[in-house]
Amino acid sequence: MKRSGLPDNKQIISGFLSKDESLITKLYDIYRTEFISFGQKYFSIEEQIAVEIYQDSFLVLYQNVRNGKLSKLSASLKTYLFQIGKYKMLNYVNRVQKRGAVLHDISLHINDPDWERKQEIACKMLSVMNEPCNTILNLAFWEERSLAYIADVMKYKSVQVAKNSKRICIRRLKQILEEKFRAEGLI
Amino acid sequence: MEEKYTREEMIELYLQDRLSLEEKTGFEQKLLEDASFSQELDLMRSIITGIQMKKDIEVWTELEQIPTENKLKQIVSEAEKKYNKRKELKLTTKKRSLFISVFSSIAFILLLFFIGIQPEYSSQKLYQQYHNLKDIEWIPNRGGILLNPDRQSHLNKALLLYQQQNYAEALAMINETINGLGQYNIPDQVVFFSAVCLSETNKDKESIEKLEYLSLKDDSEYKQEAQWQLALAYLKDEKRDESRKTLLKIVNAKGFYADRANELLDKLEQKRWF
Repeated sequence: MKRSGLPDNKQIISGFLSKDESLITKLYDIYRTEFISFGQKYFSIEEQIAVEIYQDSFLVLYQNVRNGKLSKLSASLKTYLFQIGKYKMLNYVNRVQKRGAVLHDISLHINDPDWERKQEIACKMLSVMNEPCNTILNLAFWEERSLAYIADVMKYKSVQVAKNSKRICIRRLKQILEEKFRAEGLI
Repeated sequence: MEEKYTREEMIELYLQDRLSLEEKTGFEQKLLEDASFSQELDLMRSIITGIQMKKDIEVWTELEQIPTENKLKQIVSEAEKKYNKRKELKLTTKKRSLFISVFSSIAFILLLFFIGIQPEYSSQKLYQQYHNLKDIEWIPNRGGILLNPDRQSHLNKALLLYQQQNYAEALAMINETINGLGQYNIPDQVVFFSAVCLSETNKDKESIEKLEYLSLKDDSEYKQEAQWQLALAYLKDEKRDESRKTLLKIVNAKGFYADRANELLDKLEQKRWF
């Protein structure tokens, strides 16, 4: 989940911050480095090939979404993307390098009805969350940005302000969620 | 472990897989021991997964709205472009760094070489080392051009001033002595000491002119002194090549100053390192 290799120069940051940028582009940026590292680590493929497979995986993801092959919420888009990518990398390795690589499917699906209900509640709560908590938590847990980055985007005076704001948002959310979970007997 | 991170931070880092192996083991031990800790983890996991799920739904909706595969291809290739730009930028920076380091290395080697081929002794240092007026004795003129009594009287005063190391006054008195005389009617002795006084009063060019004149006069008894003083005067005037040539003449002539000239020549040729 670490994404220390994310672009960090000002041009790219300004790209991330532009309002008209699509979420798909953002998703592309968020998982790109991790995807390439994954390909290099487990399949020993070159960076350029990993990039091509990453782009192809996006296309397959799109096709599956469009033709209804994937059902919403059963797994994260990241999981789908990496599953597609893994099969593509395996095919590449077997075809080009003629290696009999075997893919061990790692399913991240969680078949726990309580857990799924909790996620549903959390997702709904987060969908109606006000600013600045919405942006702060998206940056912190979707884009996995540092506190310094969050402080910069939110135009806070210091990292400490960003840290405090994030803590307040999380505590508030926890409190609401705890009440909801208790009300439904989930905890 | 808890000193480094707060309990909340630990939970976040654990869920984001950002703890070290040691920290992770300690954290999992705490989970087993403390039920409230586990509950807190569960809540935080719900938040993080909930955020990701919410964003996934937004992306999903956007994906559904993309009309064609070509449009998606266009979006991802546009997204990839900035990484290529970044790579180019890195490459350019690398090339620039390589050029700078190669250039710096060459410049450094050239600088070392330049320093190495510099003379061990500066002209001024050698001049100071070999310049010694005690070597020059002003003796009365023996024969040759005779001066009239007035001029001789001036010359005697000049001699006295010279011995008192009052070179400026001595020079003025010498000029009085030779005032109105043609070049060939001036005794070599007067020309020579006039050159010495000029040098001592830092009128080097005029001094050199007179010494050059004398050093070319084969019949002059001041020829050897003039050549030696000329070699030193050149040094004082930073004319090392002229000095070297004059010293070679002295060495070849095997006269009174030959040994000193030879020694000075060696020092002139000596480089700092190479």
